[in-house]
Amino acid sequence: MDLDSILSSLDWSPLFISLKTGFAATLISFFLGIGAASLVLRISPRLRAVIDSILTLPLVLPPTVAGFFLLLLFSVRRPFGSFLLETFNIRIIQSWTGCVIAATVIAFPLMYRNARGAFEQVDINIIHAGRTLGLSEWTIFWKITLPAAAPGILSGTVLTFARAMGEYGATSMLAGNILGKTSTISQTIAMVMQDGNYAKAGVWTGIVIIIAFIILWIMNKVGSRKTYQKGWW
Amino acid sequence: MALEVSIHKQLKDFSLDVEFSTDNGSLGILGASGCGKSMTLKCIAGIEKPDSGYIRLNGQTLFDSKARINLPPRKRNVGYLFQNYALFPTMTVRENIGISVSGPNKKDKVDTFLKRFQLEKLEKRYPSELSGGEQQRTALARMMIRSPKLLMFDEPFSALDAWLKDQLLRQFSNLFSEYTGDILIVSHNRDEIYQLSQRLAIMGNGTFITTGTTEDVFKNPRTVGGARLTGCKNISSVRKVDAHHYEAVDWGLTLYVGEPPLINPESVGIRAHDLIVRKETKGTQAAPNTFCLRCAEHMETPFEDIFLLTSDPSSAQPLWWKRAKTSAQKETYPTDTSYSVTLPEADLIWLEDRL
Repeated sequence: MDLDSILSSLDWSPLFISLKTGFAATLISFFLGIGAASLVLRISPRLRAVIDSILTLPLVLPPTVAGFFLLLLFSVRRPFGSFLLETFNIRIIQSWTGCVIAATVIAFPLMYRNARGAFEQVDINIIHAGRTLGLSEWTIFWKITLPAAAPGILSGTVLTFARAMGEYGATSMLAGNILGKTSTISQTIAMVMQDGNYAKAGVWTGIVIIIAFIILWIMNKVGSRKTYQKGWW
Repeated sequence: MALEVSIHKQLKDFSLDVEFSTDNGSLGILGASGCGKSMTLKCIAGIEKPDSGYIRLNGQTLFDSKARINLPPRKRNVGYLFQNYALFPTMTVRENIGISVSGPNKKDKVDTFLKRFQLEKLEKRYPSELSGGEQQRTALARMMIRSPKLLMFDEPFSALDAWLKDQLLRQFSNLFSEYTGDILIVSHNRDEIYQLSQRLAIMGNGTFITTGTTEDVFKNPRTVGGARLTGCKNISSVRKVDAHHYEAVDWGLTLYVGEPPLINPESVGIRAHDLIVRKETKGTQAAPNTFCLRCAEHMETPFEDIFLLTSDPSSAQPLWWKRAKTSAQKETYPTDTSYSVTLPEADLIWLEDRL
């Protein structure tokens, strides 16, 4: 099979499912991660260490272990899963929502840790200065802390997107590999390789590499930007 | 208009116990780094919370541990100039200055302050694009625009080079003379403090050791630490011989005093500029406290000659003598020669603690 015929017969749905999953998981992680980071920095150091470990766990655990826990939680044969199905008619297993939940759980720690690191880098004196100038905590967070932490938060967001888009282990366990519904690029590559279809796997690999380069390019742009020259936030 | 402070706070290595009041003027707090100076300012600003005590400003209670009052910093309306100026890096000069202002007159008000601090041309710049002096002016404008009831300066010149510092010291003096409230300045630099503050407190290990008018404190710093902070180079422990004689143990000299010191001194100091040195060594016993000392070393700074004078080469601590270099002074004082050195009684600084 030549490249042209592969491309013309290719079902592009895994690309869109991966992108969609990546964007949805990043959006959720963005707000949850920033919220968690700014809350964690306010609590006592001892409690912080515990919460920090729990929030970072999915990054350290094998994704299949995370998948195991997610299955335990959302299985329709278990209390919470059956409650969701019976009360709200929501089914997580074998659904796109499952893809998003799996990707979010795996990618969230990256967002959280980068946001936390970015907040910790912010000079505490500018926050003190904001307080002595009579600003409310709300104003200080939105106008001073968050913009000052923006570079770290943005690079965290890009990493989160990359991780969410490439998620395989937990996604395959929770959402399965249903073509046109939950089949992401990562799962597609694994599947066509099992069939021995190297050419098709190669095409998908190429697409992934292109996306990876775009992500790296964005990260470099964000990182090398001469900060605070223009009002870009 | 007055500030009353009486606070206690346990810190890692020592406890902060500060008690003072000001009355419409500038109080300088001179102390070595890490002695609790900045912590005192932070407690007054509300950034740090004392363990106990009270802070009142112009009759309003800012903090009172007994009454369980602890106003948040944003309600205290005190100005705080941070050591690194703490400008908001993502905001322009104009945005920095205007952040605490709201209402329809905001633009006019910010314009006024941009002008007053000569920042009109820099209004669109970001802090990273400003020089140290410009950053300081921006921070000052940002602080003054709120008309704070108290001004606090934390090492205001430590980030600036010497030339700029002298320029800014003059501007500060002008600002201070226009301001009607109280001013606190924290520094470890005696020259800044001397120029800017009417009253002075010397701080060590979390407490005020000496307080008084700046001139008095420089004349009588009371403790060894205070003497050092005010720039006294020569300090020796003393042993009382009789009512009129004290042995300066470290220098190996016995000092005569016509009028016994008011305190029971443990140490004595004399500033390096106050020594009187003459070339002729004959008849040295004529004036009291005149000794024949050998010049052991000569050092130079751009504007001063420094001579180390010692009574006995082996054990005694040398006395530092500083002489301003002027074109009129051609006299040289070669080393390894003896000179007649007088320690005038009026310039002796009696100190209450041991070296």
